[in-house]
Amino acid sequence: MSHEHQQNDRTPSGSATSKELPEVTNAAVLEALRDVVDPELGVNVVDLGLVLDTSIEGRHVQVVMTLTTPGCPLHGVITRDAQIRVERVPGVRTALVELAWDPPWTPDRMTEEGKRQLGW
Amino acid sequence: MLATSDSALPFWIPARFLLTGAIALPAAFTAMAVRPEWLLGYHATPAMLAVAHTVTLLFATTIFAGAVQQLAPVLLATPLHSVRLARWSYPLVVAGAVGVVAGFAGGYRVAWLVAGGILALAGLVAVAVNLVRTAARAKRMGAADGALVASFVYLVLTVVMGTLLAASRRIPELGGMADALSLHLGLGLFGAFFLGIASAGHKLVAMFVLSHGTPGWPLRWLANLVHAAMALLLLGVLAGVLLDGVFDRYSPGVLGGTARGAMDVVAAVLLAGAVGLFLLDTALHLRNRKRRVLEAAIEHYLAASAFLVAAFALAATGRYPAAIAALLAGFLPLLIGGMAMKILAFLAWQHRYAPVVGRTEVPLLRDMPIAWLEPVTLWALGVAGLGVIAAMLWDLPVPITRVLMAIGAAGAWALLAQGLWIVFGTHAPNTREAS
Repeated sequence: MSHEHQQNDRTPSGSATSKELPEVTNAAVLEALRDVVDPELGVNVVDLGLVLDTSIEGRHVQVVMTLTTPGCPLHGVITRDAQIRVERVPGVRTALVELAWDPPWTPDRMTEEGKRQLGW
Repeated sequence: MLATSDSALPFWIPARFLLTGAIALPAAFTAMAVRPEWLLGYHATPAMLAVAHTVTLLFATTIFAGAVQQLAPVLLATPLHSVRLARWSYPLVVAGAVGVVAGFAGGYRVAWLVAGGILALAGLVAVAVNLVRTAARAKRMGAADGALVASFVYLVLTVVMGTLLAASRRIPELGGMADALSLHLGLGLFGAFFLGIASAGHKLVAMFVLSHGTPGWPLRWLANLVHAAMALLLLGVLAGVLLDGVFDRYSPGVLGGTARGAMDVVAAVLLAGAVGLFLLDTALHLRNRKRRVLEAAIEHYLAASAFLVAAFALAATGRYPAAIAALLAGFLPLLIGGMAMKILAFLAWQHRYAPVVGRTEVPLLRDMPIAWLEPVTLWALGVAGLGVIAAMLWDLPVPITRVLMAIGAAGAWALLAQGLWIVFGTHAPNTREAS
């Protein structure tokens, strides 16, 4: 993760320019997370309602996610994908993605777009 | 959704089980297409037993043994006890299954049957030990988890019974084993395959259709009914042996046979109840699903379930060979074949694409199979399953039977081609909007 971040954090000449980086916003983080797609369902994690919380402290972003099933074996892939995508957001230095099972996921968390993509 | 990233087996351990199984099914249907007369007339011939064991041992058991070692760590949220045991189980199971099939195909060669049975048994015991030791480490164990492990223990017992049945032809002291055929069939078809499918299906169908809020009690009661039925089948054999031993001089075989028959009937009633609960569990998953469009694996699952119902309808009317055919030629190929492709797609995706997720565009799981082949396998295997039943019930003309079996062979070859494409093909990401 830090590799991509360092690329964000430096000018072409290589000098650190973190003061010039844009402010990280919740909207930008969520937009990045829309590129994280559940490979089984084909719907992104935001529209599936899997993102429980995001918090931004300076250049550090913390994402708390859940999954549709506690035993979902794709958890490692999805969380790693989410971390990579968030760390690509301009201004982000580090991202931490954590899984939580409380509250458990319910279909009510899906957006209308998520339901539409699942055929409803 | 079949393996946690930190407990995943190396790709080729479960994958080779699944691909080997996928080779066996076209072999079975091709044999029936070449020799359709095997299906007509008397059915318990060595040739038909060879075909039946190609389906049950080489196809279903091999895929089950591979899939269960992938599934158990997921369901139990615990790493598999031993990768080495999993690795060694493959050659033993496959060599043993080939030995048994060759033993039947060669005209009931007892030495091959026993040797094959022992080899297969060694491999299946290795899998069973792996499962039980994995389950022992699990922090939680639900109804589906326990039922899945139990189903594999029944599979081991099935092979034990089959090997003893074969050995009884050479060892006079095992002569009574001939009466244990219903126990061998019951253990294999219902204790092992049906219970294994129902328990794994309870979890997998929920994941694949994204069902939410489906209760667990149908599966719990289903498992209890299957366990009770297996116990009754065993008691029937034991009662038969004991009663025949004590009263044989007065009424040879009558008391034992009556007791065994009564136990078998009650066991069948319990199994019918279990099948009803299986259908209820599936229906509840579908009713509670959040993914509207059903994918191929679920379509295969539902078509297979129809063959399960047909098997009981046929058995209830005394058409036992056709009932068994509904299970062997319809239920198992459709359900296990469909699920095997889904599992294989997941394994291949994890192996090939998971490492580069986030760094490059990757296909979704549904982009892995060849879409147009899915209805081909569904319809061809379905038609062939009905064809086998019809041929057995009405002794269809040989040319018609040959055509029906050729359709089945085409479906089975298509399934194998699908598996090979999933593992080795080039998959394009293109269906993001078509859930």
